[in-house]
Formats: sequence, C-alpha cells, structure tokens
Amino acid sequence: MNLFVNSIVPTAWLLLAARVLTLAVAAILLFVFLFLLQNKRKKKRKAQLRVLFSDLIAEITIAENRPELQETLQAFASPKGRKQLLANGYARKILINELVKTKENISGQSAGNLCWLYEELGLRQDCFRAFRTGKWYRKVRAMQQLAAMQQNDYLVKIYRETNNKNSFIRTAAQLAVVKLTGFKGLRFLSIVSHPVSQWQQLSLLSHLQEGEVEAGMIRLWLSKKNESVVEFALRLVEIYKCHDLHNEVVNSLRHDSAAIRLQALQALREIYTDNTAEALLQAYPLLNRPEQLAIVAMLPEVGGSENALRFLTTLVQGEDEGLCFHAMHAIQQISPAWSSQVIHQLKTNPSFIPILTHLQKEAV
Amino acid sequence: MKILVAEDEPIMQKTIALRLKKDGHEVITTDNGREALTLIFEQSPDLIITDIMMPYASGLEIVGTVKQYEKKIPVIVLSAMGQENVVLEAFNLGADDFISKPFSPNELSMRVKRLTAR
Amino acid sequence: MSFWTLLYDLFTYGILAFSVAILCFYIFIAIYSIGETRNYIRKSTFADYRILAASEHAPSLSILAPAYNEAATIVENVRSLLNIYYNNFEVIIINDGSKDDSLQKLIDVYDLEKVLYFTEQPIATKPIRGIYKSRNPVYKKLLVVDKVNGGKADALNVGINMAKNKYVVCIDVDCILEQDAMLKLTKPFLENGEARVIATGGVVRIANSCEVEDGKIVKVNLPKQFLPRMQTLEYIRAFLLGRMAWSRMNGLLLISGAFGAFDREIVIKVGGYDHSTVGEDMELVVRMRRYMEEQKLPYQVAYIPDPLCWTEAPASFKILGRQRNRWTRGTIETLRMHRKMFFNPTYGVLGLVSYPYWFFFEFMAPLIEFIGFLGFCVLACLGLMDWNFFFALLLFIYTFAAVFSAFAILMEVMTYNQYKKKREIVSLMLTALIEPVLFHPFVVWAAVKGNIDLLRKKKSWGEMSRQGFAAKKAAA
Repeated sequence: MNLFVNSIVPTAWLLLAARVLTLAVAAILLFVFLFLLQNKRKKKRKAQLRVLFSDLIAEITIAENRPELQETLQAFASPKGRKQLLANGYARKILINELVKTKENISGQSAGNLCWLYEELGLRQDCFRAFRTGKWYRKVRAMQQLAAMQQNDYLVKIYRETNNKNSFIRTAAQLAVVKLTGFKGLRFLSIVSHPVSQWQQLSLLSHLQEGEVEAGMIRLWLSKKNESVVEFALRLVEIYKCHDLHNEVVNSLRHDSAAIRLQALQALREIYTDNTAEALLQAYPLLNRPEQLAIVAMLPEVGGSENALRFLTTLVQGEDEGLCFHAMHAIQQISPAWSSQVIHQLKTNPSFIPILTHLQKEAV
Repeated sequence: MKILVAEDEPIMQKTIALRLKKDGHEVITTDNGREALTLIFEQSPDLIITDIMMPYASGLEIVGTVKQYEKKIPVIVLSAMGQENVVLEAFNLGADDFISKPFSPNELSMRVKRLTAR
Repeated sequence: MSFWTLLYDLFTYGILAFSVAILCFYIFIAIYSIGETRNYIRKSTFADYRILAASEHAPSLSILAPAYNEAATIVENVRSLLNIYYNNFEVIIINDGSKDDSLQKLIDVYDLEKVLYFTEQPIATKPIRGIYKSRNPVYKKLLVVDKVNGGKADALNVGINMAKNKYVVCIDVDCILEQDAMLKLTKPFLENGEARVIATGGVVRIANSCEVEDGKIVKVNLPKQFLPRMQTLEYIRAFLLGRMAWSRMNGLLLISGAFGAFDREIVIKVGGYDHSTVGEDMELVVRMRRYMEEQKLPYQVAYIPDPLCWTEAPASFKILGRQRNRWTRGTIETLRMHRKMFFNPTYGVLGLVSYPYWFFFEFMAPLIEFIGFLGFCVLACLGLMDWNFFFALLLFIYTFAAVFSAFAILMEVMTYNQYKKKREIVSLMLTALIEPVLFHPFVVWAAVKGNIDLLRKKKSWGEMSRQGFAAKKAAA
C-alpha cells in the first residue's frame, strides 16, 4: 500500500524536527524564567525608588516658602548625594513620573513647588532630550511631561507637531499646547487636517479652564470642512454658552453629518433665544428620528409657544409611539391645561392608554 | 483632631497626611473603601477625607453609610470626578464639602480648619 | 483496487493538506497577534482613563446583566457593578423568570419598589412582569426588570429595549469586572475615525482559585484544579495569540458573551439577539457585521487585550462537556444562518477570511480529526500502519503543540503577566504537555457530540450549576 506522507517527508526528518522543537520548548521556558526574574528585580527597584521619592515629593509639595524648599531638598540629600542618585537614568525616569503624577493632582502654590523641584534637579534636560528623539513614544511622553510641568519654552516646538501624521504625536501635542496655554492653544483647530476623535475632544475639554474663550475663533471653526472640528466647536459653544453664535449653530442643523446636527441641538439647549423654537420646528421635517426626539425633549425648555403646542399635538396623534410619548411629556411640561385637553380627546384611544397611565403615575 | 484619609494613590495619601500632620492633627490613612468603613467604626475619627474612586467601596458609598449612622462626623470628598452630577450626589448624600482635583493642600488645610471649628 | 487507492489517497492527502493549513494558519495568526498586542500595550500607557471617568461629556452606558437562578451571589454581583469607575451609567438586571429567590433578595437588600415605565419595544420579547427601582438614592443607578423566562438572548433584548443610553454593555451577572473595565471597553467607541465602532470586546480570564473579596479579585492564582487550569492555557492561547490578530484584520467574529459592548442603534437595527440559537453572542456580532457590510458603511469591531473580566470556568468534565457542546451547536447554527457569506467577496474580510476560517478550522476541524482517528483505527486493525512513521509524526505534532503553548505562556508573561510565580509557569507547561492526552480528545469528542445533538435538534442550555466563588481571606 502507498504510505503517502513517507514519500514526502522521511521519518528521520520528523524525528529531527521533534528534537528541535523540544529544544525550543526548553529554550522558551528558560527565557520565561529569566524574564520573570528580571521583572521581579526591576519591580523591587522601582518600588524602592518610589518610596524614596514620594517622601521627598510630599515634603516639597507642602513647603510654604523658598527657604523651606531649599531646606527640604538639602535634608533629603546633599548635592553630591543627589548627583549620585540621579546619575542613574532609570531613577530619573521614576522621579519624573512621580513628579508628573503628583502635579496632575495638585494646584496652587504647591504645584509651583513641584515645578521648582523639577527644574532644580535638572530633570527638564531629560524631557528635552526625549522630545528630540526619533522614537514616537519617547516624544509623546516628553510632551506630556513638559506640559504637565509647565515648561513653556518648548511651546513653539510642540505646536509644530499638532498636525503630525502620527496620531499619537499629534494628539499628545494638541493636549500639551492646550495644557500650557489654555484656550489659545486650540489655534491648531484652524489648520488641523486629520480628524479630532471623540476621545481627543474629551481630553482637550478636560484641560480647558472656565472663562477664557474667543467666540471669533469658534465662529471660524464652525465653518471648517473638517467635520470633527465643527463638532468640537459646537461643544465649545455649548460649554461656554456663546450666545453670539446662535445663528451659526442653527445653520449647522442643515449639515450633512448627523453627529454635527445632534451636537448643534445640544448647543442650542444652552444658548436659545426667542427664535430658537421656530428654527427647530422648521428644521424638524428634514431631520432623522434621534434628532427629532431631541427637539421634542428640548421644546419645553426653549420655548413653549402655542405653535409648538400645536406641533406637539400632531405628534401625539401620530403613529410613532415613541414620539407620541415624548411629545405628550413635553406638552405636560409646557402647559398642563393644553395637556388635559389632549388627554380628553385621546383617552378612548386604546394605544394611548399605557402612555397616559405612565405619565399620570410619574406626575404623582 | 483625628482625621481619616481614604486615598488610594500612595503619593497623594502621603502628601495629604503630611499637610494635616503639619497642622497638628493625628492622621489615619487607608487606600481602600472597605477598610475605610471598618476604621471609621472602630476608631471614630473627628473628620473624614475621602476620594471617590477607590477599591471595594466608592467614596460616595462611604459618605452615604457614614451619614446614615454617624451624622456628626464631617466628611470632605476629595476627587478628580468633579462633574456637576457627582458633586450634587455627594452633597445629597450628606457630604460637608467637596474639593475637586487638582487641589491645593493649603486650601484643604483651610477647609479642614473651618469644618472642625464648627 | 484502484478505486480504493484513490479513496485512500484522497483521504490521507486531504487530511495532510488540512493539517498543514491549520498549522500554518496558527503560526501566522500567532505572529500577527503578538505584534498587535505589544503595540496596544505601548499605546495604552499613554491613555489617561481618568479623563473619561471624570468627564461630563463621556457617553452614558447601559449595563445589562441577565440573571437566572443566581440567588447565591446576585447581591454581591450587583453591588460590584454599581461600584464601577464610571460617571454616567445605569445597571439593568433582568431577572429571567428565576425559580429561586433572586428577585426577592434584590428587593430586600436594595430597597426596591415597583414602578411603571413606558418604553418602546423595538425588539419583540417575552412579557415583562414588573420593573423595579430603588427608594434609596445611593442605588439610583439600578433598574431591575422581572420577566417571564425566555432565555439569555430574550433577557438581553429586554435590557436593550429598556436601555436609554447610546452604548449597551452585555455582561454575565457573575462576571467580576476590573474596576477600569468600563473605561477601557468604552474608549474604542470614542476613537472613531472613518470607521464606526459597532462593538467592543475584552479578554475573559479564569477566576477559579483566585482570591475574591467584596466582588474584586484580590489575588490572582493559577487554578488548582486540572480542568480550569487547562482552560486557562486555552484562553491564553486563544486571546493572546488569536483575537488580537483577527481584530487587526477587522475580521473578529466573536465577542465573548461574558463581556461586550455594543452600539445600541445598530443592535436594534439588526433586531437584537436571536433566541433561536444557543450561540447568540457570536451570532449577533456576525449579523451586525453583515448588516454594516451590506450597507457598505465603514465599521470596526474592536478588541481589547487587557484582562477586564474574570469568570468561573467549569471544573468538571460533565459541565465542561455541556459548555463545549453548546459552543459547537452555536457555531454551526451561526454558520448556517449566514452561509450566504461563504467566500462571498461582497462581504470583504468577513466573507473571504473569517467565515471560511470558522467553517474549516473551528467547525470542521474536530470532525476531520475524529474521522482521521477512526481512519487510523481502521488502518491499525488492518495491519497497514507504518508504526515508526506514525510515532515520528505523532511526536512531531506533540512537540509542535508544546512549542505553541510555551510560546503562549511566554507571551502571557511578557504582556499582562498575571501568573508570576515560577511554580505556576511550570504548572502551566506541564498542563500543556498533558493536554493532548487528557483534554484535547475530550474537547474533540464534545464537539462531535455537539454536531450529533444538533442533528437531533437539541435546543437547550442545559443547567449550568454555579459553585460560587470561594471567598478566601486575603493573606495577611
């Protein structure tokens, strides 16, 4: 009989392969053990350094004046001792990490103390060096650290990276400039050609302070082709309540992107005028369902005119149960009298009864 | 005064404790919510400072539980979660003060003084 | 005579080709996966998840957890869900007509009262018996729905109907989540570029023998029992050396039913979970992907290699058998329902790579192996075996499997390193060496039985008994 595979692969080869593979298993396991050992040592060292540095950082944070800062540093280690300790690159890396971590949680004079320590120990140089390196992850970390420790000297260099094609460098640079200069740092939105993701938008927002806003810049961004920039601009309108931009926001209701239209509605909730309700009713027929639901939910806040009530009543009488429910809810909030009228007309309609029961129970 | 500090980030725990010790208070620290609750009932601190995001039990649960059983102990919530709804929830549960991170240790010290002076 | 030779050749060369293909595929997937995992870890060191936790503008989540006869652990499980690191979320527990006192326990502990709710029902489900909310403001995020028993898929559909947020997270109620699990699971939805992320899934880790306190894993231990330990190795291989690669190709067909997040709008558009299959988690992802392909909308199913969720693995052959049987039936049912995609270029990577892979290497592989084994028996009985060659081949396959497992262990150590002790590594490796003898044949048999049962139209989950997590005091 034909012994098939034997004609392709001789037994001897298979045995050889098996031997090689067995050695491979042994080699891999050896590597695993060595790796674990090295890891353990590294972790131990890291823990020791963290404890050492955390004492220093905590003391520095609560120091109340310059002499006290100097004293604390001197008590920690003499200049010679410091030099020895910080000769090790790993130790410096841990110290910078701990400093940055603390700085993120601290404000006021204490934050200034931390920046003083950072500069006094010459740790800036590490970050500058890392920034100039080719490796993207070192550059990103450097930008994060420089921004956290308020190193404005590198602002221009960092700003140049805000439209970098590497998304990590780009987003880190954008965050860094905003962290360093607040709202002014958002200038990059005027030129950025890559999308600004939702995540990035949230990150940028978390670094913006209250109060500082330039409506003119936002107006410019609302007209950009980059849809994510428009969306972000609308978010800014919402947060900073830029009433001046009401008309531009209403125009955005006709944008092609559903995300932008929804964001525009959210913005209008914060900056509505007497004309907003009309604009919403006009836009309503052209929008899709989630946007229509949003409008119905907004009407009680933005302007419950008789026009609006009539419009909502047509929705209640419509086929769409969800719209019917939300419209009825809105009517109740705008005008209880009108609401009673509608209920009276529809109470014999069987499909309306569950909605009615729910709303009545909720009102109690 | 005996102050309990519940904060899971070691360096922040140290900083807050140092600041309070500098003001002359006795400080007990913990890094998780469940131990915090145990310590509160065992040691009856005069004031509690708690983060929100902690292992086992959130700071808000601590506020709620403490205010249910020991209304007199003032509680300061110290957290990075400074959104309006979180702040309101903390006050609804009975928190006496809410400080958002990033925070100033000097400001914390002032607020502690104010609360303990009452 | 020549007919038999032809048949014999077809049989043997066929199996050979299949085996070579599967080996090559494994190697390719493993290498592809490693690069992607290392990349992910590097990138995630820069992600500040605190921002998402602390942001007012973070998307709201609806966490859905169906429960059936979970009275032993449900109170603790719900508590740990309510303590998740996230700002805006609701927890919806769907009591799927439990026969025990799960519901009553929840009502008592969380001070629940019945409320009236109008919700739209975009997906048809079995009737709801009651909706409960807590009187205590501490538990205001909790919503409990009591419904007529209808199975996991039906329960999840009820949850989807009731959910009011954009993203729904479907989890097994007894899953222990890492505290930042929600943050990590939600992030892919927010990193949208052109492609809309429609679903995200994470890694499920095995919690047997781990120390659990107050709904959190305090200490990770390698499972002491053989079967869970074996499954740990299996999961490491599958997750570290498999899923990441599929995710990179945008070919991921499966999101673990234990823990996954979905874009609610798309789920409703495709009609929710299908309760006619026991593999409803896989089937939903396939259907959602198919919908996006048919609509020609750019999309992505994201996978997060971080361990996010811990669950109890079956510790007895009986229960493991039922589980694998169910998985097999689920796979076949899903493949059958979507057979239109088989090698269909309209469906891109899904039709040309994912589906065929699942068909040949997940569905057919156990069958072919079983047939091969039968063939071997026949040949042995007929005295036609070249025993030298046979043992050499067996040894080769065995050592190849050992290397693959060793490599998986290496990757585990170099990435998330949950098992740090030397003795645990040795234990894992020994388990890998025993696997081909004790475990693999069982799994193949369970899969074959699954095929048989499906042909006999068995449609049930079987009763999965719960052992509950052993609560051990953490070492002082």
